[in-house]
Amino acid sequence: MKKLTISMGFFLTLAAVGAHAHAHLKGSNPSEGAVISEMPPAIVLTFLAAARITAVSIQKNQETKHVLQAPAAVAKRISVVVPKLGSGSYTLTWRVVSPDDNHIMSGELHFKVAASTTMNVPMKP
Amino acid sequence: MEPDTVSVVLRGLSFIALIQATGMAIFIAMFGQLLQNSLAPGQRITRLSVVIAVALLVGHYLVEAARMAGDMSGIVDPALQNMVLHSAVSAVLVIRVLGLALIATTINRCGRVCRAASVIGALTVTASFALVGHTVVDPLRWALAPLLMIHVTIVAFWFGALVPLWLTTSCESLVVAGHVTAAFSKVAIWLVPGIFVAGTLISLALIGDFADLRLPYGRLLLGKVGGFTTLMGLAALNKWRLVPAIASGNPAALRFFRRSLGAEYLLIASVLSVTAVMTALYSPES
Repeated sequence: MKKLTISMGFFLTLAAVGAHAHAHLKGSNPSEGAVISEMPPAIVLTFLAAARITAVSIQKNQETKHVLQAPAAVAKRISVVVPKLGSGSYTLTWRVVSPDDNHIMSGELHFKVAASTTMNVPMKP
Repeated sequence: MEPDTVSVVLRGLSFIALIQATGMAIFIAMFGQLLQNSLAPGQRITRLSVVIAVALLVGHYLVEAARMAGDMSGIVDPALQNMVLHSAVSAVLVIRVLGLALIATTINRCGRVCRAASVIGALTVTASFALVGHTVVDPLRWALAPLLMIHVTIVAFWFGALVPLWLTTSCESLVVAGHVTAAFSKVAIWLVPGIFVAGTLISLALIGDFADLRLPYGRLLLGKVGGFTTLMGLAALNKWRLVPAIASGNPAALRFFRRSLGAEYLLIASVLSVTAVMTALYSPES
């Protein structure tokens, strides 16, 4: 019994110092809820752990969703090239898979563009 | 239809069929020699469970690409299917199907070698649970993998025993039923607490902070603990009241025992379904 208690105590100590992370969104550019005057060339998503985007789309003012090209990179920081955007409220929706445990996660990013931009980047048909 | 919903339903049902087939193989290997009239129906149900489990596993595998796409059209996306093919998900599918195939081909034979092969098939299936999921990325994987295997194997031992025990109390004489239930109970009393010990250690390692128990993953985990506590109550009733009553030749105890088995089946199936939701849609820190 004493051995079992010691073993469990040892395990719990290790568990307390152990750290693991899934591909939750850590930050983005533009950030959640941001109001920007000019659109960057791409939206940058930064995850807690390396991930691969398997699907990504953008929607303006509740209009039709535009499916974007999902980058093939497996990384913590992933850039998503976006199409020519005018002013309005946007929702970027994505799905990622963690290459380590194959956990699939989804998320959304909301931001506003106050002025129209002149970016012209190819979209996935 | 939402791919997440389809995937979770298939995952939950596949867990139930998979654990049942695995557990029945273990039960028949351990106690098959005590069975007379209930052995053949038990073997038939094991093979049927294997077939259903394989169909559900393949279905769940195909829907994985749809989950990646966020749309059911992902099933026919070759790039996404290729991504799934080159992931641990496909390796786990192959391992589980091989384990189930070994069970299906050996379950009808009574020799010692075939019984051992059947158990190897069952252990192959339970070991596969340690190859994917949240324990894989944890720094304590070396400890969590065997703990998870122990946890799943004992769950299979318990869940897989319910149908054969029900058959035993329905098809066998009171004397045989008494022998079988007593033999199972004698082993179960030592093994079943292992579910709680292994499950608690795994949860402590994954959760890390008790505050996370307020998150969806933590709440579902607490739901599992609640289900397990209820199950232990039923198991105690069986062990201390019903099994001795059956052994002493009380036919009324058989009826109560069968009802108790039915309640245990529903509870464990519910806990397996909760596990499917918890592990597919959430992570310990969400």
